Amino acid sequence: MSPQEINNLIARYLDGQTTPAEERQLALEVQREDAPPEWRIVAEMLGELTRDEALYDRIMAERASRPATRRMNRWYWSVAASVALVIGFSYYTYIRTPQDMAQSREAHTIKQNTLRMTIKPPSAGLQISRVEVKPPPPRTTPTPLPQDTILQQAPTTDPVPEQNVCPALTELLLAEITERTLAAESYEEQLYQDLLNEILLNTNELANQPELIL
Amino acid sequence: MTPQDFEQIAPEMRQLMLGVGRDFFGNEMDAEDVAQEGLIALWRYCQRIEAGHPVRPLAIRIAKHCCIDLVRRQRATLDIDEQPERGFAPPGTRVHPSPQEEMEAHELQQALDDAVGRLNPSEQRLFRLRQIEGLTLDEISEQTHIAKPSVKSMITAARRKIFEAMKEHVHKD
Repeated sequence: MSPQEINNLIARYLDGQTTPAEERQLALEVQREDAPPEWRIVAEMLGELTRDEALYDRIMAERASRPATRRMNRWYWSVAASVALVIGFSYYTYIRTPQDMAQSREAHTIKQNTLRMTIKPPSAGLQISRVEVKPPPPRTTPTPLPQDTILQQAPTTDPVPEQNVCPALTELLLAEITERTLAAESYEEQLYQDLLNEILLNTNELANQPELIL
Repeated sequence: MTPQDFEQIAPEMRQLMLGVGRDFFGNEMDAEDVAQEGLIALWRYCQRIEAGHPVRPLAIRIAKHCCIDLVRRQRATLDIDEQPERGFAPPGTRVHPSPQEEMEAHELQQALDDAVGRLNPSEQRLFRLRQIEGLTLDEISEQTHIAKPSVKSMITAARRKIFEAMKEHVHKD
């Protein structure tokens, strides 16, 4: 408040036109260090009760405005956290799960077929006399191929010459693809069960044919 | 107001002052100090008024004053007078006056008492109701059964008289 405004307020105060709120404001304004004598007289007339009430009200008003800001910030944060939770829950429930299931089924199918290929069905007429366990070959660190070699070995989409096609291999690949497609349509529990059944079946056959050499 | 009259209203006024102190300080110990000092100040004032006079607004004003006064004393105890009055007083406000300023303030207070003492009883009463009890013109009119325009003109006259008397006292010094 400028000195002119304070003088105007003092004039209104002496004319009895000020409200109690204006008088509290005036009590604070006339407390300045460089106050002229007239201001100090008005300060004394208003009294310390008016001045301290004005101070008290100002302090409480400032305090009341600070928590409001904190509450607003907390409100924004809680809304943001809720939105993030909803998005995360929706993603894991409605978006991720079908893809994840499909990927999981495919992975189990590949694993099952790999095991099927590893455990060869016994040939008819073979007799298992003994089982030999061969030690694994020593581990060797593969040397990285030069970049040109990798490019030369990159797969191509060119048609394979007819003389290079092996009918037996084609038949085997088609069977494999069919088998994988069928297996991908079933649930993973069923696939696990099939895998276990097959392992048990092969194991039983191996046990019944002791002459088979793996 | 007799001591017996004051004893009847004291518990209610104490709770009122405790509430003001709790709101301000947020602890029971300071709130108790506010209520204790406030009741003493209220009793001093009530000795001069008649029984049945509403003192609730005055009790709140006194409690607020006691809160600010307690802060001043706590600051003085902590010896942080050289620190600026951050957060409590507006810029430029002197909360801790120098001895010279205290003496001038005391003289001004004496001049004010003298000036109020020279007013006629009606003006004195209305001036106190407005300046000490903080009542509005409507509340004063309701309490004194004097028309509001008359209340306003009497308060204006009282203020003018006091202001001129104090100005004369200041310029004389």
